[in-house]
Amino acid sequence: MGINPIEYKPWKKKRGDHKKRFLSISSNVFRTNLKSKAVLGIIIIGLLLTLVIPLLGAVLTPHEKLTKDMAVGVEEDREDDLETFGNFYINGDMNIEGSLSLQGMLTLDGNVFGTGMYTSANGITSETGLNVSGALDINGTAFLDGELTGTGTIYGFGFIEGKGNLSGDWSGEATVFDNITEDIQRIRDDREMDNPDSSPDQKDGQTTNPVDDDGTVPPGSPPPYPPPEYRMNLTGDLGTEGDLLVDGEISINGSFYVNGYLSLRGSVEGTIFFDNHNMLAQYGELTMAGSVMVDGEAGLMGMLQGEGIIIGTGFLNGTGNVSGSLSQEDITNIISMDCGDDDDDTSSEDSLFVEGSLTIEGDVLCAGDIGIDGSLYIDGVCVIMGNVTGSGSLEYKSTEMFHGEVYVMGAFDTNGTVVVDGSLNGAGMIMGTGNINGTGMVHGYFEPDEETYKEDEEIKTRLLEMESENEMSSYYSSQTSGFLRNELVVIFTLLLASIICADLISKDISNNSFVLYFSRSITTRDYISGKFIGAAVTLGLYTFIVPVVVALAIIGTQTGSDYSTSFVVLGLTVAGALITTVYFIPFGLMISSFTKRPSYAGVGIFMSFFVLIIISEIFRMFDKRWMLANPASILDFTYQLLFDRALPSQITGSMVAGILLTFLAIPLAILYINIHRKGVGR
Amino acid sequence: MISSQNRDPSRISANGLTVRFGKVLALDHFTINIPRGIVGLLGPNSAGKSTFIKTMLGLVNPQSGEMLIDNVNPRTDITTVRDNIGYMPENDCLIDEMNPVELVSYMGRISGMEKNDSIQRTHEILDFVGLGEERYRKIGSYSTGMKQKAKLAQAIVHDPNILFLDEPTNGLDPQGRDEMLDLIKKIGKSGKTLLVSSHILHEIEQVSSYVIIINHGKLVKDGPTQELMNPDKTRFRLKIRGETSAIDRFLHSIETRVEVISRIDESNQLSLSIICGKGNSFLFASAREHGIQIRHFGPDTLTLEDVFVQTFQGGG
Repeated sequence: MGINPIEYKPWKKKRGDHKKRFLSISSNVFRTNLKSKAVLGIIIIGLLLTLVIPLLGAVLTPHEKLTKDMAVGVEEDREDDLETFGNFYINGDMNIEGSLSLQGMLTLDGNVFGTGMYTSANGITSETGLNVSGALDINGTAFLDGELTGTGTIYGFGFIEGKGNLSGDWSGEATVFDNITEDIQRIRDDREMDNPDSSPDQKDGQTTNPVDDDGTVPPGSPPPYPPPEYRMNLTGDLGTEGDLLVDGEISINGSFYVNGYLSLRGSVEGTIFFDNHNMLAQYGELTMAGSVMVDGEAGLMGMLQGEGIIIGTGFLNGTGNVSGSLSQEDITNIISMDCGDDDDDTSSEDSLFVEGSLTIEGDVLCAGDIGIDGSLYIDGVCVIMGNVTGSGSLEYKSTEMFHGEVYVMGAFDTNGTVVVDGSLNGAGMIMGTGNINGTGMVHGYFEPDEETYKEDEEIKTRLLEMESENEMSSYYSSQTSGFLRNELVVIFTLLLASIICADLISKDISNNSFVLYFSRSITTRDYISGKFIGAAVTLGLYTFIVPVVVALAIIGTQTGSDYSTSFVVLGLTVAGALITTVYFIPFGLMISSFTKRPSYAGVGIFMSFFVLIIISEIFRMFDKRWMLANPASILDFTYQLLFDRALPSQITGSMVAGILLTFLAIPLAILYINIHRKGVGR
Repeated sequence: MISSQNRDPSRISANGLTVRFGKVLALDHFTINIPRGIVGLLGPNSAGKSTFIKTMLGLVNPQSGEMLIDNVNPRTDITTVRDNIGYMPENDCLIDEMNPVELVSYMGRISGMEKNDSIQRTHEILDFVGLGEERYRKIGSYSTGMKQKAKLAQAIVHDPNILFLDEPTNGLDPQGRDEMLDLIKKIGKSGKTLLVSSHILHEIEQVSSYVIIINHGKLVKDGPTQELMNPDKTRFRLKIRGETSAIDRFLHSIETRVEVISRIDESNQLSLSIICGKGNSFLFASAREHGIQIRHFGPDTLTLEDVFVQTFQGGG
């Protein structure tokens, strides 16, 4: 290559303002990001996953206007409540003033005090005991080696077992659980000693069903009438881990659970609680030849099969299944306990509650309530005068009361109140004079035939009125978080911010190109502003599109004329999207300025947030204010402040604002110092 | 005061500039007035050359001292100063993921040029530096020589009045060095001030009109290149041939009027560096008298290397 003959030419045009030159950096960042397949890919995938469904919901669901509920969800009363899906370990005491709901296990080395309510799906373990002034609702097992004392109420579907004492002012009296099985055995032995010549099957001239050696009862046996002296009366609770064979009658004022094999030939009065998971696995079925008188509760955790009759006015509840060989007569009897009262009594005593599944081939007539946490399948005529509540499903097929098929996911109401926590689907008629409310979904196909046209029209009208009463559409009522508080959007935003910010500073470090910027009329502030705005515009392609497009779609398809409210919410939504956009970038840029490897920076940004979330989730159990360490929670709280919503107790608006500003300002300050040192300090 | 204070109006001046990095004193009360034209900034490694350039650019904060660039103090108005400066750093600084068109036009934009202007100017400059054929290749794939040209291109895209070139020929082969020096000369012809830092004295000697020698952060010597290379104009190179005894007699005859600086025996002749006052006809008369042939007689100029070596041998 020879010497280049081209001469140097001066350039004399006027140059632009210094203050706007950072925009050139922003523009370059934006254009570079748009060339990045990773960035574009995540934006597109994110939009597909987070925009389509809310957008369809917005367009397809009738609504009057854009409301705050649609943006940030239904306002929840979070005051003093704590809900967790993980396990909970406390080394000290626990004082509950509000409610505590745990899906996991609560392990306590200390005491529980307070007037609040504790509910658990998995139970509680305590070595030192519990003092409950409020309510203790245990749906799992409570292992109690200490003492349980207090004046509150204990209820639920779980067990209390252990070596401790149970005392207090509630229904039960102090019982040493270890001795329960021995007590039962002793009763049985005493009975045999007192009547050496008479079998349990022949007592006082009455015939009870024979019991095989394995404890089962042949099907078809008539109901037993055990002699009074064989009655086992307990004022406390009764539980056993072993098998139990009862030939006589059991009367229990407390609770009764059996975790082993159970064969009943006598009748049971009082509260009975079956936990027959093991029995089902080992023996296949529970045979119940006698009658079970249920004046309290009958809880079924396992499978209940047999030809016995369950009668009474109490509850039948639990998490087990009731199915199989039950005849229509049996079913009628089951339900008939609810029909005992002529009054339209909605008290709990006239209720059927099933946590498992219940299949009924016959008709159902129920004057009381029906609660379903499992599934309820009815193929006959169903007339329900009471309430239907729960989170399970109800499937109903009939040609008389219902035209076609009604499929109820969660809740269904006729003349009472229906609380829909799940969804109510169907193509039949929904009859009744009650309300439908709740947070679930109500939709279906209601096309009537000619005969029922008029009636169906009325129902449709009524249904819409019911929704209107609750001032929310059924679709949005199920979206408790709102389109702005979509957790998936936060995850994609974080992912996108990690990728966008990762190489913004780190590549300049690795290329040593700071000197290119700072040998020009670019200050550290210009440099950071340029990078920040470029990243924000790129990130905004995602963070703005999702909420703003949904909000605009809702406004565009609203049926009402109150556009002023809609536009106020739209403005708040834009502000929320702006906060989302700028929220992660300072931190991302700061991390990027710590390393010359973009991959390290990207992982560092994502993991930093992840670690903060984990730390927050761990320590929030001890103090709610640790939620402020969770960047996602801060964003969530900010939305709530923006939309004038209540924050959780112990957390104030000034705290959120302070942390938010700290989260923005401190990374920017560190970034400034870092860049200044790298660019100007040497 | 410094020796160059009464020369052309200086564009760059520093007075008592002190820069310290921890315990290392990079510039020690450095004072200089730099005139227009191509100015060589010489010094051994770690002499403070790059530190001086970065200090003038505002990339390093001095602990004390004053400085002016085109009568503007960089410490108070760095943006104005930087608008008039182009800087070609010594080390790698280019953004590998860009091609030169993107990089140079980007640098033009952040120097205040409109987008279209910067693109047009970028193509002109890339043609000028000789990267026209390779302008759309990623810089990461460039050779050292091409990267040096790209660095020069980004430094001049906004047509600054003052250029700081820090080791512009670093890592270049002889042809690349020639090309770079040619580019520097061409830019110098446009009336700009180029401060070229280098430790390759031969290159500076080729292009610079003024030289500054710096060591341990202090000014050692400065001045027009030609003056440094022949400081007193009484130095001559004399080459003679003849019998050994005749040469001895000749040297003896002139020793009262001439100071012999150096004496080099070349094949069949003797090369002398001498200093003599006005009038030198006696040399020729004495040569004729002793039968000596004078093969060459003329001014004896030093190379910059000589100047450099002499400077440091003299305590610099």
